[in-house]
Amino acid sequence: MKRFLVLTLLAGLCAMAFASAAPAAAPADVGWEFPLSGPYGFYAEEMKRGVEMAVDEWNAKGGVLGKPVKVLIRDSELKADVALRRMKEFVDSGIPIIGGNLGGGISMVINQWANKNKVLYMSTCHNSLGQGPDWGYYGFTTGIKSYMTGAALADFAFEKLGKKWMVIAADYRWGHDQVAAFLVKSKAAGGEFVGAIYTPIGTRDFSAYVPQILAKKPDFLVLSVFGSDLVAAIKQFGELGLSQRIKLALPKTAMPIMKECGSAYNENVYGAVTWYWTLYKKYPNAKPFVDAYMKKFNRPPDADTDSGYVGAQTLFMAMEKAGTRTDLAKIIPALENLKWDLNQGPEHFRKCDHVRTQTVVILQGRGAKAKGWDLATVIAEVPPSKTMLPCDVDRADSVYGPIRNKLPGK
Amino acid sequence: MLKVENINTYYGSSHILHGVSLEVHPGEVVVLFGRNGVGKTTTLKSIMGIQPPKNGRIIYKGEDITGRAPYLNVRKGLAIIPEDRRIIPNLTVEENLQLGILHKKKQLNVSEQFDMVFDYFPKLKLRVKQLGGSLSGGEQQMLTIARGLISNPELMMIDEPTEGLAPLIVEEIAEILRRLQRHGATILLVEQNYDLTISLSENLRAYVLEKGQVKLSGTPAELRACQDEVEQCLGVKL
Amino acid sequence: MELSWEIILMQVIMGLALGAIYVLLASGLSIIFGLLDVLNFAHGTFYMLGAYATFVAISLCGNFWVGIIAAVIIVSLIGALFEMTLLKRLYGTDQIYPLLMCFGLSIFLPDIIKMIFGLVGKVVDYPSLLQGATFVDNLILPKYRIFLVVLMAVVLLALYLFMKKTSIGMIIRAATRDRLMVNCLGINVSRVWTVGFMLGVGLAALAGAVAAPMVQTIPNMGDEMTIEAFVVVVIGGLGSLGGAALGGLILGQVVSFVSLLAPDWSNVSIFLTMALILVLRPRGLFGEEGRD
Repeated sequence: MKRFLVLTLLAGLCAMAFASAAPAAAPADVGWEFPLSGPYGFYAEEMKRGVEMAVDEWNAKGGVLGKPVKVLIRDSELKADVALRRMKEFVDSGIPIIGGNLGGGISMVINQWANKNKVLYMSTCHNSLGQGPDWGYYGFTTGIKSYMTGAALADFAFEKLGKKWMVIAADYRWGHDQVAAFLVKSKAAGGEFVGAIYTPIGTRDFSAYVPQILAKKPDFLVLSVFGSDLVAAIKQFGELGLSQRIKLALPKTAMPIMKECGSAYNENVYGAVTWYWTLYKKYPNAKPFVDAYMKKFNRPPDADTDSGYVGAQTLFMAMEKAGTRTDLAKIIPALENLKWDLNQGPEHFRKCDHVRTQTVVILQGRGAKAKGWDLATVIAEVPPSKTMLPCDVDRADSVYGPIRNKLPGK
Repeated sequence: MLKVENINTYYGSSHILHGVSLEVHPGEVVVLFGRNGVGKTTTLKSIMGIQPPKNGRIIYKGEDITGRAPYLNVRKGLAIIPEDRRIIPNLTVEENLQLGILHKKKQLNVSEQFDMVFDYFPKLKLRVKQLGGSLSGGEQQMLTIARGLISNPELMMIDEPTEGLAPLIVEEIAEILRRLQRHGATILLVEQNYDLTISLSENLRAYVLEKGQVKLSGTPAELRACQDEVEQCLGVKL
Repeated sequence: MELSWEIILMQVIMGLALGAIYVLLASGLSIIFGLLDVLNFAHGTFYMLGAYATFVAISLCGNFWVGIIAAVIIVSLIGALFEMTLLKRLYGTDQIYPLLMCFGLSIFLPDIIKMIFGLVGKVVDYPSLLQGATFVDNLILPKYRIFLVVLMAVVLLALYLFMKKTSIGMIIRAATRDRLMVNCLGINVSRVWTVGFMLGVGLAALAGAVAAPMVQTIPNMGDEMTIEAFVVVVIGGLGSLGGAALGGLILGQVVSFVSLLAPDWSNVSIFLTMALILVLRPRGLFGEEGRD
């Protein structure tokens, strides 16, 4: 009898759950998810803050189409299954637009799912959505294609740092993308490649690589790892005197990386980012964004803040232009035709692959001269025209793909 | 000196001691007899605080020590010499003995106490630097007794000191026990070897346990008077 | 690649330094497991606390050495508090309960640290005395790494003397084998447990403190360290201090040379080493059989 009661109760609950899944008013206009917990919590938090700032800005001037915009932000824990579940929950509750994520692999999974289910997805990280067969009409990227930072940095490095180079790369797609970008650029620039070391994610000790690097005497070392691995590598290379002798080129860096390395992040460390806060001096439209952020959080925003911010901004602009918050048949064309000038001059999404025309910024470390959050100097900006390959080349993955699939030293 | 009043002890849900009472007076040797599993060792463990009784009282020198931690009981002069010897195998003989006297280091002259136990067990003196685990069974038993003895306990509880030892060693241990007794030690002894125990001294008292209860008690003479019952309790022909 | 003797020698030194961190961490874990029978899943958390305590102490007094010592003391005291108030209640229950308690702590403390110190990690600089390296031809002799090796040797020697020559060391060795008997010899074992736990945790904190300049000092920095310390202890034999030391040194060399010859295997290599040693010698290098 007791069991029967429990079963009936369960059945009732299920019925209720289904009932509530039926279309009601959507709880938000856009559902965002970021890996707030986990090792990339800082970057996820920055993206989240960017989204929230865009929301606040719009709502302060009356919202989108005369109504306040509302977003939901959830934690995707840096796990593909959790990320997918959260997105499904958003869509099940009636939200037609989703966004966020950090990590190319997870973005890819979400993008595939979004395209299959005809949900608009605004990705915020470094990824390869516009490359290979993974592209889809419903996916947009306010981050950047992974290879672009590597390509931009390579152009800079072969011109300014020297020709003889070596690489330490994280042993996964993003790390491989950077190696491929450097190999391609090296060939064009007459570079001399002297070796590659592939390290698993989570490598904490890089000192063991130092002897062989010193033995090969490269002009610069490409350090294509990120997070804890990158901080450990820079600190240890500083300690062992390597970065006093050899320049380091980082296809991806970020403010916490520079901060956490302390004085080891010296003038010999060159890194690529998609945006840096001192650029507000050059792009006056970025000033209110930087000021508002500083006022709220007592430090400047990072590149990922910009990604989240621009992602949310462009969605709201497109809704406003399309005259709808939900009709993707109107919002997507609006996004495709959108031009904006926010933190980095005039930008748009390339129509053929929906990737933001992102300029890459090359930063030089300041070492002991760093003060507060003034951690690096902008020494070059590489426009997308120099780094983005045509869409058909990307779709066929014919420049980087063959090299990435046959990396030397693998 | 020690008074156990009607204790009931359990291991988990199994009821081992069903109201055991006994007494030990200063200078006396009291023996617990009984078949395997009747609760002799449990009685010692209950007194020591290793397996505290659920109810009943244990009075030692006028103080209720029921359920008190073993180390506190030791500091009050109780000592247990367990049946499985429990030599610390990774410590040397010397260290094992030091461990035994650590809690009385301030009250006693350590080197005198060492001399005293080496006087009882001259064999151990030859083995001081050897690891406890490398000793033979008989030597380990001697070390166990020595370790208990070294702190001058007022009441020694010795659990089956001759178990599993060769006859020659058994006799050696028996001689030590006699010597201890002559020197006025108070001993609560658990022993299976009835004849050997009775031979220790005429001046002892024994309790015969059956199924967690005291069945009989008395001096050797008194027990001889009801030999049939004793034999029935112990399951042996005497 | 041509393997010159300089490269091999440097690889050995780097491996020794790497092993030094393992040794410090694992000997602490080994003491705690041997003495308390507790699988301290919060060991990496205390390593992290060591790094943060060093950061705090250095920010207050500006001296690396004072920072390290303060960190070890502070974290040992935190460990003692944890042991006396929470862990102690669970002794004598199934082994899983203290394990879960430690595991809980390893989730809880990093979050607390995150709340206090934020998501951006902290910088602990190398002491100026030990910064840089001495170069002899192509041979680099990194001062800090050499310091780590010396520190490990000193700590191991001190531990050895402490265990062999002091009464409390003797009690710890004895209680590792038979805590009940030690209790029955008039020794308050529970106080020894606290001391042993403090010692183990203090070693983890020392490892974290000296590792802080070399790695990213973030709240989750200890997560993998727990697992790796367990690997070292398993290789060395559960509860054996000498085993923990040897295991740590072996792993240091393995990681160092695998990093040179097959870098993408460097993380997996420690587990492969463990598997190999367990196949050849199931109780680990110095593990005794039949320990209860």
